[in-house]
Amino acid sequence: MHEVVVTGYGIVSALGVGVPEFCRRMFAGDSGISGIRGALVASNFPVAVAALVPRTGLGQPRSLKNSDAGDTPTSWRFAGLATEEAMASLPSEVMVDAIVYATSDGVNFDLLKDSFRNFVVDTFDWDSTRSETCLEFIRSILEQNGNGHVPDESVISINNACVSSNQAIGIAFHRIRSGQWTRAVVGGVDARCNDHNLMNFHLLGALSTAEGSDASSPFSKNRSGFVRGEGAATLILETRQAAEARGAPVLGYVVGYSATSDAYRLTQGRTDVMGAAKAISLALEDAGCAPEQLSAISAHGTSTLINDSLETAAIKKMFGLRAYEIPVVSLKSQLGHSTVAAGAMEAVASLLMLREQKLAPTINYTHPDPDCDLDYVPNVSRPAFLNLVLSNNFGFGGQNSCVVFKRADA
Amino acid sequence: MSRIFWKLSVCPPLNELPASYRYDLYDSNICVPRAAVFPEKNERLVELPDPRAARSLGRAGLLLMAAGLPSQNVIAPFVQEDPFSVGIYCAIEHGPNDFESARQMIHTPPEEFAVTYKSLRSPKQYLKQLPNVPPSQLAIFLGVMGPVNVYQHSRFGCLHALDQAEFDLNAGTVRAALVCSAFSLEDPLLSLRAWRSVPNSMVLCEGAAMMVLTPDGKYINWRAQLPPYTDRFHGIAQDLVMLARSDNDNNDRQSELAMQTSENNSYACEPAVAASASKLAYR
Repeated sequence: MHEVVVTGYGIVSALGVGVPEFCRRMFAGDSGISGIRGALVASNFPVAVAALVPRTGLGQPRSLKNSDAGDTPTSWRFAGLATEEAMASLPSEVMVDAIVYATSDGVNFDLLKDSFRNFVVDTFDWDSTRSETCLEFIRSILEQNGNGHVPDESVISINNACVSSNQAIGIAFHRIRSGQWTRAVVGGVDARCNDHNLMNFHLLGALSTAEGSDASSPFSKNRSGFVRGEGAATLILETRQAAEARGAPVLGYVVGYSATSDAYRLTQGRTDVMGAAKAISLALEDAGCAPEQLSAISAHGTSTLINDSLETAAIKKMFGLRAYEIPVVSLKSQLGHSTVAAGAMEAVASLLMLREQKLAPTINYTHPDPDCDLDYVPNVSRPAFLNLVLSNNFGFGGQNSCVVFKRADA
Repeated sequence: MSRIFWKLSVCPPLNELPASYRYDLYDSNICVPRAAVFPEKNERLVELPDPRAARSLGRAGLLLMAAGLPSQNVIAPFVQEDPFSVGIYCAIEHGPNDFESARQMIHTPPEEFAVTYKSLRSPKQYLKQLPNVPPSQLAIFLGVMGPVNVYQHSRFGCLHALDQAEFDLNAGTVRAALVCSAFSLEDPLLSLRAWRSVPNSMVLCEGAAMMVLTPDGKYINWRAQLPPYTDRFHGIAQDLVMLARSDNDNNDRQSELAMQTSENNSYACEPAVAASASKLAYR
């Protein structure tokens, strides 16, 4: 069994492009959420806010420097920029065995509308209907950088709703730990923050009805739904042995992973929280870590009424009275919910908390909820001794997935 | 570290001549020249334990149910012993998009977009499009609480699912792995892209397959096991459909398995579910 380390990370988010800015703003408790009416959507649109990646100053991936940004799919831009940042510590000649990436690319409403405007079979962009093209773009970045050609069977495109990128991390972690792979590029991208996608979630009653930058208020009594976010995050995972051999920086460890399903309802978690609690339990077991060793939890914390109370119940079911001693942070209070990319973005946040020995705050926490009575690190970041952080993601379909990260110098 | 404990493929009859499959969408005539599909409309494809679930499933999702639900009494002992020890490994693409509403909204001004969108589209339409909904629904019907993995690579999705199942069985993460895939011609863009990716002589077929894998102490290199292409192409489901149809099992054997499942089924699933699936398997 190999130890698995993180040797690179990169992020594109509503809190900034690049890890340094993201880190600064996350601990400052900034909100990436802003009004979208009159800009992204019409002034009478029923959804008022989203957490958008700032387009001003958003560059092109170096590998696409000769392309017009307008011609580049947004998911490629986000994933490309995050991947190139993560590859800063990945020199040429260092081979990559696999790409495991979460994406929601494929046929969508905009593509349909375009197809009706001018559909010619022979000139239609058929590649835009495939989910894996963004991964193939990441593969081309690696090839240009001299990191070898990742074979098709190891270019793994995952779409399992909100647990997707936690699963991408977990799948690669297990393969590397077993020795099957030495090194992998993992992560997730979500670039669907647009009018029709917002309407899809709005019609399902999942989005916040609040209108300010405080519209995402996880675990607070006044929460009313999640705020749609977007972004990408990429991590380089490899064996500790391989990282040490090439003198790569160790940014943290991945030590545990689990995935379970509720087998209950498509859009609501089990009220007995059996599936979520089991996922937490299995991840800690996989990490070889006793419950009392856990330092903090990066919660799924969507700001929906149901998720936040069920997640709190799952944590209590798993940890008992110790649940009240474990800080629980929701990055979605600042970043909104980037669905398939959320796990990867929260993985970067977890690793930064471990590096800085500081807890990011759950902002917009104003009204305590008797059903959510844990320590959510309300509104202000604070120093803490952090050795192990659990990152939860739960998703449509009753999916639960957890990853455990350990600090680099522990 | 696995063996094939049970398998079923659900495909249109092989002895039927392919026909063209036409989409009345655009001004020009769009069709897949050589296609094979089940004649049943979506609502008649398979009887679900909870018919309301059909509102969230596209045709590929329904085909996945047709291939997967008959495994119920086969996997019941595993599920009863530990529902977390059974996992689902599914290769499937996005569900169908609503072309009609998109067509009607081409020229909708931004101020009218939300109202028009709400009037034209059901909230459930979005669930139909999400690729993880069919395997999640299958997990709900079968009581499976282990990992659900969803792979989307249009050509290698099945291989990714098989490899992960093999890995998880080897690691002891699961004791039974339900590897499944489905493909339908419901979404014109997905169908046309799939058809354009293979030689014109091939027939684009809808279909689905399920293989239940259990540990066996020997490692299977699934890439080496994949059967060569025949004259039929099942899109993302190709590799699993072909694997489920290969070896010593002919169609009759597969149908027989499905019938046994139907007759012996006493595990929280209406017998009609499996019976309907076996009916499809006979074709």
